[in-house]
Amino acid sequence: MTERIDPAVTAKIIQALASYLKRDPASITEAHHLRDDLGLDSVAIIELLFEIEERFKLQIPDQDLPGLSTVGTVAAYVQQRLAESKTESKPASPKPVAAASKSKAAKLTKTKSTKTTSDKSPSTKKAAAAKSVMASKSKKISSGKSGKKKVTAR
Amino acid sequence: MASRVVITGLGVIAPIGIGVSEFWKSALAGRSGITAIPSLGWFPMSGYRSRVAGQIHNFSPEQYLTTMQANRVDRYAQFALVSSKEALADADLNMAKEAPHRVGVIVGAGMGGMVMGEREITQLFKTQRPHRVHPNFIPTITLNSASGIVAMAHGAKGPNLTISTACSSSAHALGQALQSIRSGQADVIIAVGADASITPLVFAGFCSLRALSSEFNDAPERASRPFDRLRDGFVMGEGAATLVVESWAHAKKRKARVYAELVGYAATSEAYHMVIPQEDGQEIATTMKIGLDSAGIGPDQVDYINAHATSTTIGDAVETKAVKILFKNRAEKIAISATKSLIGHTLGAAGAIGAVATTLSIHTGQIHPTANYEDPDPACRLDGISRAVQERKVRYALLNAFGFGSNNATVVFKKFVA
Repeated sequence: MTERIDPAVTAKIIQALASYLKRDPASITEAHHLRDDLGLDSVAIIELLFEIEERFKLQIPDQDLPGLSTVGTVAAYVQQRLAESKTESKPASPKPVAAASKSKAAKLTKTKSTKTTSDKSPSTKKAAAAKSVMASKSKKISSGKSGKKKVTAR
Repeated sequence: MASRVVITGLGVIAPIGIGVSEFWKSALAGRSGITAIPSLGWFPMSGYRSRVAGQIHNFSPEQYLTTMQANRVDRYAQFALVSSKEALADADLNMAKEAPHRVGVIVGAGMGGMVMGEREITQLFKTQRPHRVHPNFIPTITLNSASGIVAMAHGAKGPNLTISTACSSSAHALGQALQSIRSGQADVIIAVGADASITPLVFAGFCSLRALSSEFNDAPERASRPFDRLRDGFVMGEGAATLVVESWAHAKKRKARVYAELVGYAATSEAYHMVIPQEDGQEIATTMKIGLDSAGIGPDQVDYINAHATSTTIGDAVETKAVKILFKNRAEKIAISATKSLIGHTLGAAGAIGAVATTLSIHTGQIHPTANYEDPDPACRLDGISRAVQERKVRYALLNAFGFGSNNATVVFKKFVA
């Protein structure tokens, strides 16, 4: 499992955001908070995730939404989900997915709250991004434990 | 005493122009906005009987709206935003100075968010992937998305309503605006008509109903020809118009420029047939009569009628009959024009766009030509219909609009004298 977020994943997410917001991708960073920095309201965030689901061929369960608050957390989350889908060959029943997602969500939410404050100043952005990477790391472990679920109901 | 109600702002987006000045210049020139449509987006038109329409070409919402506004709503509501923005600026209505709950929005829309509607339905049935239905699908196709977004754009917190009576929708929106202000419910109503459903399914539906012109695919600008002998159906159009309507007391207080006064309104049902009017014209005559009564005037006082006149064989003849029934000898003296001859039938927007034309006729003393009225159908012959601009002092004018579902509306306008 990767420690760092694959820049390609982040780039793809930023691309999706940029096309949604019709702004320059270069103006969007991992540390940006979707609501506070990029001005997305809750429906806009859902629209963005809808776009990301398509681009990454993922389905994001409702339970995971609360943790997805910054570009970085979204990237970390997507990367983890992609990694999971690589290691797992068989789709499991939907129930355990939900359970596992919940635990992931809890972790992510915690990360978000620490980050929201630090996001604001550009100088702390790097740190924030790093934090988000770490968060994704720890979450990865936990989800690795709860294991076997992949949502591949397409 | 019920308050007087005046029109103080206009906005329009139509196949012959975005913005009132371009629209009116084209209208007076008798320029047609109907063009051939080889495809609807990627969807080929070769299988359609009718292949002409009044489209708004090269519309880029970002030019007029914020990204968030443009992204959130369907094309028809984008049009509503554009025409409303223009109308509020034209009325010089500064919302920061208004009591927000005294300013309302009433939108007439016949079809609503069909662009996204058709796309999502197609996707779902093709892919059977319910989780890929767009999250904004429901808020977009809900028929009050335009009235909602217009209110949000301007902070109008008064009555917020949508009227959907097919092709008469926005004539009713205007009539209800009059009622709302007269009743004291609001000081200002932003009255809007909007539709944009030149989409594969809707277009096919109107084709199947044999409602659309199919004989002029090679001469699109000749296809919409109300009252003419060769007319063979309406031409679909799209667009929006907004009229800022307010109580005279309110307009006076803020020293607003007044275009015209709204003085009467009739809303009726023929209770007869889903798509065909009573052929003897009695119901339409009665509707216009109720409108005149509500304005407190007689048939001899009317100078101009902005006719519904869609260019269908039956519809135009019935409306002519009704004019003859109600106005008798005066029928030949009334100036009549068909805005749809220029832009096609914009469905829910038609009443409001016709209302803008009516208002400008009163204001400027010029009545736009009825394009393609070349060989008057004997069943539709009236002296007041002309292919040329008519100069006329208009004191009272009627706007007619009739919708599927046996629905009729007439709105009565008057030259404003303080």
